[in-house]
Amino acid sequence: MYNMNLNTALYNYLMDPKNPLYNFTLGKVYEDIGHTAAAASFYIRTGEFATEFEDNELLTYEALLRLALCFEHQSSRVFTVKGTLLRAISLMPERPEAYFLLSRMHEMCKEWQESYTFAILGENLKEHEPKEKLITNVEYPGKYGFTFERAVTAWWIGLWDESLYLFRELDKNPDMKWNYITLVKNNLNNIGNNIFKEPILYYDLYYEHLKVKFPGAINIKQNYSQCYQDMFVLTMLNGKQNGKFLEIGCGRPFYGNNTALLEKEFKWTGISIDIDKNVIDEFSKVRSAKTICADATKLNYDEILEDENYDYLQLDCDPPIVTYNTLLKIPLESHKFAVITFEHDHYIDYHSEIRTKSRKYLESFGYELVVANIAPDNYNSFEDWYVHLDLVEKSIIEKMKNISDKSKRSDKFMFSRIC
Amino acid sequence: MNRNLCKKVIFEGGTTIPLLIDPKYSKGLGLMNPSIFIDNNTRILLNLRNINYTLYHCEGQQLFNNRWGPLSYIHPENDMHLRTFNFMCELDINSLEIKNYCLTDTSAFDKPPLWDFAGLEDARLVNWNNKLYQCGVRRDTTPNGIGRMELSEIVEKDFSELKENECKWKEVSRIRIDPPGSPTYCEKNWMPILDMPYHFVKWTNPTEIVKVNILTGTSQQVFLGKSHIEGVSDFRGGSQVINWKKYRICVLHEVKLFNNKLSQKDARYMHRFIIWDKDWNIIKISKPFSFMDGEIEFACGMTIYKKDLLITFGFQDNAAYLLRIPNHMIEEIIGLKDNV
Repeated sequence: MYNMNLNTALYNYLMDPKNPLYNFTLGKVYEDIGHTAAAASFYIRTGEFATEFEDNELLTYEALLRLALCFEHQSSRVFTVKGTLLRAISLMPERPEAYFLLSRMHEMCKEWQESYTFAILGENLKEHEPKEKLITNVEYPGKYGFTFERAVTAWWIGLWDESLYLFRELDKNPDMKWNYITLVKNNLNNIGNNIFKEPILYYDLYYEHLKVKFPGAINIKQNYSQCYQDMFVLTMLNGKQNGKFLEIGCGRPFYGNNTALLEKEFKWTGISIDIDKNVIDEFSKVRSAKTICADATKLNYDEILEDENYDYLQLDCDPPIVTYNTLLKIPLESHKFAVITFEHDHYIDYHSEIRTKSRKYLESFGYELVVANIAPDNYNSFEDWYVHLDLVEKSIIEKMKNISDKSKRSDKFMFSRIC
Repeated sequence: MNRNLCKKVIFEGGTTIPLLIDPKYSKGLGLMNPSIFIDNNTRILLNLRNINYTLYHCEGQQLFNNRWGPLSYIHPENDMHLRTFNFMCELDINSLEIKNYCLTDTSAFDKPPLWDFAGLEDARLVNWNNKLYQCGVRRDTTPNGIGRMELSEIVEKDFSELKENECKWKEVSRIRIDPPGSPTYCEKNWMPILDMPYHFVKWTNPTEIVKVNILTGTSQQVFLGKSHIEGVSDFRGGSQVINWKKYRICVLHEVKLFNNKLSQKDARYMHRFIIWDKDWNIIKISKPFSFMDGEIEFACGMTIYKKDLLITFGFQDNAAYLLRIPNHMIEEIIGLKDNV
């Protein structure tokens, strides 16, 4: 219908000038050829007559959306665009398109809080693809449009973690249109794709809030791990002294390190492996653990592992496929690890492959997932924590177990309440 | 009242033609109030007004007024002026569509506007003494918007003389016309009488004709009709006054201005044809009509072409059209057969 030329649309209109659809069609033809003022006239008439003569709310609603788009195209008519979209929302508050366009308009105006609010209102509607379709494309891309607006505006109102998380979720969405794909990738590049800031540290003043007050915890002044991994290991092993660890992807000796506390305060020993020579050189100078500088996927662990059982296995390489391939090299059939922290980096693993595969693999060797989807924030799940049922007390497992799909901020998880 | 003259005309073999220029020049904004003129029987010229606003007018039950009411000018929020630009166009002699056009170059006389309405508005085309004029109202020369009719002489340059980005049509003189008698606030819509150089029908009921002295920019009343038609709204100006058979005719408008319950302004326009004899006695007035069901329309151009009557009009300040009325309908359409 909208391929018709202007003369035909005008002729139809003149034959029945109060016909809402003829008004709408003429408006659309004008809009398509760039004459948005003329289009506006006929969209306003559409709205009036569709309501007055046909009680056709949907056509009125669509005419208001198109009218707003015309004014948006004319630029610098912000009040009118917003007013028109608000009128559209008031007419059909259950439909998503006007919320989206209004959120987008506020975003264009750098009115971040307003844009964020309308994005959330739209996101929470029951229907994002209403059964009653509009006649024309009003630039509403679907539910992900709200997520996109929310992601953009969350950043500007200081919700950086939420923004990053939403952009990552969008980046996994195979249904996005190309222009959104580009925008999402650009935004990810601009705001940085690294979820980790400073380690989330434990201090002794938090002791009272620990969910499980294991022996020796009261003496810990400060830990070192990125996300409480060391505190988790000690929790699951009831503050074990003289434990043994295999640390793959050890990183720096103290900063963000998962075994420094174990070694320093609980007299653990073990093996620390990293591919980075500088890291290993630094590590060797200040830590007691045996160090190996190598590609973890190429090591023969039967030769490296001196004991049958170990208390802790850390698997943390980059990218996550390397971590998984390393896991496959560990002789789990001949060696047991009481606690395992496995970094799957789900937040950037768009197909969830590593997380799914690693869970299946570890469970096949008798490991129980105790904490799923640990994160440095409320959004970016990057690690799973396991225990071997033969080596950890069941009562502690029961106290700590949480394998919901939701991302768990590590400090929130370890405490009975946030300090 | 006929609310859809175009439909009636189409049924009798006439046509309604959209008048368009490339939106990159108009920015997609209103093309309105075109004025048609046959230039020396050789070509069809048209002045097409382009404005920087979009008129928002709600009709019918007015359920979707915007925040300023049912009638408002949606101008750029960073520019409070309602600006007018005039494009000179040439129409194709067969299709009557615009075939070429350019913005009239007014740079020789432009000054920063002192009031919100900037530019020459609703300019009619007329050729007097071999000079082509745009004559319309300008309200930007005083801080309080005093409106005066102006005659802007325009000349056409040869394409070969044009520099890059130079306009083909250029304003070469500008005359601001003082009205006769006591000073008034706003003079507009004077209708140029094509066969009487520098004469306008200033008012129609009763008919008042003024003559302009282009050397002094003054005007004087040269005719005032005796008859006053009762029971009609003010007859405001419209097209040029043209000769047709033994008559002079024009199309003019009436407007009803009113406020809604929130004191927001609104308006409804109607048009009529007026027929005078050669002594300026009103012979007939047509019944009021609108062109294409709009409540705000405005015609300021009319001519005879190949015996047909051509009228150019704007729709809601946002679109422009040409209506071709076949010769056999003219008497009926202009009201010569009416008893009004």
